[in-house]
Amino acid sequence: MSRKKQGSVFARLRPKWMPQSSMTRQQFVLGMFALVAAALCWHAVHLQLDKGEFLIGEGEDRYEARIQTDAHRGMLTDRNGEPLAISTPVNSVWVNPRELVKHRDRWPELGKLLAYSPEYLEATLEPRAERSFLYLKRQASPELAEAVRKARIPGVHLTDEYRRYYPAGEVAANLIGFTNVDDLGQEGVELSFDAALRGVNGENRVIRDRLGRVVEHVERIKDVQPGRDLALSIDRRLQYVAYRELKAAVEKHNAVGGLMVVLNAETGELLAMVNQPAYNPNNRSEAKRESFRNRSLTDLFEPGSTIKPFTVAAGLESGRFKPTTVIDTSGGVFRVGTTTVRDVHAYGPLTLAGIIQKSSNVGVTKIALAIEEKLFWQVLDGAGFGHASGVELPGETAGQLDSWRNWGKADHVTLSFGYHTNMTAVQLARAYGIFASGGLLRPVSVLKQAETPAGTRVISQATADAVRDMMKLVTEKGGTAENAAVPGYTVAGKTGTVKRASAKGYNDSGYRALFAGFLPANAPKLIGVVVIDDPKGKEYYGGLVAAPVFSNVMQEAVRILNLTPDRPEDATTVPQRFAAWAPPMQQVASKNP
Amino acid sequence: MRALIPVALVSVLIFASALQLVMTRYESKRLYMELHGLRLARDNLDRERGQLLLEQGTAGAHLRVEAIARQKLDMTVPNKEQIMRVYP
Repeated sequence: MSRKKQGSVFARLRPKWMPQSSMTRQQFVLGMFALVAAALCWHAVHLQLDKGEFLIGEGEDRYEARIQTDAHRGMLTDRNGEPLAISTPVNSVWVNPRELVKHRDRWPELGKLLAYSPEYLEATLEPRAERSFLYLKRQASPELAEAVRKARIPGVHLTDEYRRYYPAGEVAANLIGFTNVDDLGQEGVELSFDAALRGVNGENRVIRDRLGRVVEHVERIKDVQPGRDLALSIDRRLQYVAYRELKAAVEKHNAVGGLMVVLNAETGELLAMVNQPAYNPNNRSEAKRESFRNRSLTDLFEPGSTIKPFTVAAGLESGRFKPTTVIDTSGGVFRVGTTTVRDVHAYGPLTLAGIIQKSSNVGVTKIALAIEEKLFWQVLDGAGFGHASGVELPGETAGQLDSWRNWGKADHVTLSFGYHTNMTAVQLARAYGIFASGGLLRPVSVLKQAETPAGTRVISQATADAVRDMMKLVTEKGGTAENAAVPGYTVAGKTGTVKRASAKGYNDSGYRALFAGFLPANAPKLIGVVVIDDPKGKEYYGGLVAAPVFSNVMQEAVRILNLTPDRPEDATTVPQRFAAWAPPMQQVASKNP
Repeated sequence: MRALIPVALVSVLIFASALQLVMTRYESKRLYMELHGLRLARDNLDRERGQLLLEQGTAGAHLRVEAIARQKLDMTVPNKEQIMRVYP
């Protein structure tokens, strides 16, 4: 019954062209099914054969991901394992602008979290609405990262990155350098050892689920290789003392800048290297670019009187002079051609030792004139004048020393007291090493050395020891640098006060106060060079400005390194001590009853 | 009938290896998750170590130690007269 009724409804709806008989209708429907099936089959074949690869790729893109694993940047430590630069993972906040623009209602909340004004957020996100990746805040603090994670704003994500911290801060800034936001070395040790410190980022192919969790590890494309930890030759304690004393001196004398280099006299390792002005490597936003450079390596100066030990050494090597040879410097003025050489005071007859002790220009001029130019040049060249020290730090300049063949008569003379050549503080410290090591020049290194590197002989042991003994007089009574003395230890050294050269020549551009020396003089362990640039106070002599810095730093250094005093006469005997006993306990007792 | 024996044997082997495959995949997935978890734990420990080293570095910075020693604890470096050198 119902069928008939339905039939009549269909009959009414049936278009004119459709077959009327039920038999042909059945055939028609079946035919249609077959057609659809055929179309499906054809489509399947088409997908499989024509678009197969493309679709498989698309599919993999949906669930497969290549994950980069950042390599951990190696740690920098000092020679005792104290950290100087550490990378620690931090979170960076990144957003998917395409998603975030759909949730404008959450923007004020986001701005408040990240401390960005609504205008800034608008200006940053709006033009990039079509992009799907944008860093909003790199290297956020752990607290901020946690707050962002909890806020669960759609399209806002966190990613792991490394941030470099420098626990020593300003103290070692110019030496260590820094990395940029992508953890690549930009200056200093960070730059010169970047390749070793950086390591190799790893890459893995994985399958992720809908929530982005890694479900399956498909393939390791590249293994992550963490960067190497490097132990520098620096001693962080010495570095700090040098920093403190240098900074105090630069402030006291109102100087433009200053630097100090401390070398291990036995191995050539760099123990401390400080610069003024410095900067805070952990927050460089206010640092001036020019304070980034490492002045101990880049800035050239004329060595002035600090070259005199080399002139005297050349004199001794020539065989024409003995340490006791007397040279007449009376008058304090000496004319060579058109050049007039002057002494600060007229000293009269001086031995070679006296010339070093009093720093007589006339004396060294007479020595230089008496020896062959080639020999003089050989000593200076052998001591590393005009050659970069080769220390593994970026930006080193080599300085200049003309070949003796090109010397005019005046060059020969001015060289003997340290003009007409220039060098860096590191080079000067290395050159002084020949007197500390009995005539050997050793390479300078910023990495901790397992063994003492071999040296090259520059002058004979006898000459080196004789000049060293002369330099001891400098820091004793009557020398130019009594202020460089270190109680309990013998100190050998030499002062220098150099006119700063400017574009206009030597007129009125101030002075540079220098001191170079080593101790204990009889078995040298430490070499130190101090340069104070343009002290503007009344005092500008190396012996008054630079020598006290040397003394202050070395007094602490011998205590820190536990060096045995080699001047027992300086200390009193036990009975004397007991006789002069002043009870220090009283003060303590009165303060803490 | 005899010809069917190898077929049956191979079928059993195939079935067993199929089961084995399922189990191995499951095991590898489980191990990978474990590895992932351990890596996360390592990263967290690394993070903590770095932060502790930093904290130590900041707290032990010579500048800070010296300031506290001099100002809070009234300490000074002993001068020459206060040092007794004992020579063997």
